[in-house]
Amino acid sequence: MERKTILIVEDNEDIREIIGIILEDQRYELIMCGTARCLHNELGRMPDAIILDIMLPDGNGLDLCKQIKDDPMTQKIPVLLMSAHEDMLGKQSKADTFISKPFDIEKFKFAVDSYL
Amino acid sequence: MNEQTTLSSAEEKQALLAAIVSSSRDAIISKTLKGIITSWNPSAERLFGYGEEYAVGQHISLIIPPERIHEEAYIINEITHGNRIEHFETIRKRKDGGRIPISLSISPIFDKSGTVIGASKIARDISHQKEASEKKSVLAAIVGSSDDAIISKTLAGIITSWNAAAEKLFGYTEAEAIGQHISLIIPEERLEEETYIIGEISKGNKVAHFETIRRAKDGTYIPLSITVSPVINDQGIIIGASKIARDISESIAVQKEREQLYNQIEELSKRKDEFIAMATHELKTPITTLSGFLQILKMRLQPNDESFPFIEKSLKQVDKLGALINDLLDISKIQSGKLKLNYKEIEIVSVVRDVLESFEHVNTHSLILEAPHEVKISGDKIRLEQVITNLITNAIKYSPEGGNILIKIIEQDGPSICITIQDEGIGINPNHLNQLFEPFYRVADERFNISGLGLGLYITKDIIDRHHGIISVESELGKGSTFKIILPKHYDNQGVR
Repeated sequence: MERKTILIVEDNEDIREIIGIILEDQRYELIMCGTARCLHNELGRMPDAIILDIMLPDGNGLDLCKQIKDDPMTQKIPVLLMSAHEDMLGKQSKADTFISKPFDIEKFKFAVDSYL
Repeated sequence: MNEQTTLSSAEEKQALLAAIVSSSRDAIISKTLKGIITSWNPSAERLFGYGEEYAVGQHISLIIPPERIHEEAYIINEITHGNRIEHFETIRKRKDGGRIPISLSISPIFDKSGTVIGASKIARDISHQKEASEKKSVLAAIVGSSDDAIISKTLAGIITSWNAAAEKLFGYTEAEAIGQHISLIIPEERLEEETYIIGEISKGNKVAHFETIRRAKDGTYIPLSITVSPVINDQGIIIGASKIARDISESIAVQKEREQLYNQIEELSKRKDEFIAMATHELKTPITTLSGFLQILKMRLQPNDESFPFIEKSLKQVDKLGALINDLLDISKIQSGKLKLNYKEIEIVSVVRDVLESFEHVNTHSLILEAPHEVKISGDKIRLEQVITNLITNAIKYSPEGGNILIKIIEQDGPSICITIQDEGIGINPNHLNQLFEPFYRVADERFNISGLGLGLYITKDIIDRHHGIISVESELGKGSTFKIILPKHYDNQGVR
């Protein structure tokens, strides 16, 4: 079976590393991004899911999520929006689910698995 | 024949005089030099209240107030010398004791030999006149002492009155202003306003709170609010305008200052929001990292590893730190009115069950839930979870010796539900009950060292308030506390439905 690709967009290196460890034994192919620009570049690979942080140095995850969901090419890709601001997660962004920081590793895994 | 004619003409004359006297609107009285009343016409009867048959033969002091009895001596003295007294303004007394202001004209009565034998007295009631003149002087005093400039002018714009405040405001004295055209104080570029104002006044309309600018004698421009009303004479004809001008430079300055303050506050509030957003991110990122790595460590260690409890303890503290940061952020949101609720239909029993699941690791207390199968209400799921979590955390914290914690959900007959959380802990001193929901308030108990910032119940109450619910507490020292929440099942702008 082909490995599923997950695009992880998170500017904090340590948190990227943690997510990498959580998902490493799941046999997913992980693409790591620290910027919105990187997300745009990697989106062409049509990942099976995107884990997207809200605060990025060169963009806002809420807007990026909306762009992904408004584009017929990418709108089917599940987006898991991640933020330390719980209030922001409630906003209209068309994300498939929300993960608030800090997170419980087991719940994080469960959330990702359920979209793949 | 001639004599006859003369006689009859004298009789006629007398009859005519009698008719004049009796029909006069003024009271006409005659008296002897000793003051004995000898005649009393119907107007005297009306004015003083005594009938003719009673008054005639009485002394004139009948109608003189005791404090004015000395006037009679002066009057008689003048009359005795053949002098008339005209328009003598005084006060007389009515039968009912009431006093009336009157104007007296008194003439001597001579006999055929030219000797003064008495006096005729005409008394005119001047109470109306007096009232009118009093009213006039009251009005004049008001105009004179007004802080607003009050000016009157003809329809042609000629100034006809100018009060003290107008002098002060515009710098022209009354003498300088009266007779001048009103354009004296109107800047050239605003002259057409006068055409408009006079136009409205001529139509009988009032121009109220017209904000404009006028010019003072020294050339300074003064922002004013003016109200101009037509002046109407007895015949109902508009003969001019009265103008009240209020200096609004101060209120304009206040308004400007207010706008500035408002902008400042708005800017500060914006910066505060940005700061909170930044602080949230900056504080939570290290916690996320710490918590993440600790969880990974915990996963990789065997539960029997001697370091395992250290990891567990560290994780617990990290969670606590995260919760404290959330509380602080919530407080700043509550205090700036930015705590937003995300209203949805939720099933409250499962919400409470989920919260209880997160307390599964608690082995010091027994958590018991009594609830119906399901109850649907409108509310913010995350915030209500926070409320229940807070109350259960408190119940555990304030019953350090363990015991049962009973959570009940009661679906009431009405449009509301009731949730109670009951512990068997240390209880709350009745003196402290009313401060319980205040920020930074903590129940102090020297027997137990209980940590926290004292924000939980304040946040809890705010969330319940925003759900249009009520939170209350019953407590007994040493027996425990019961927190009770009543929530409307459904709430919209029209209220509970």
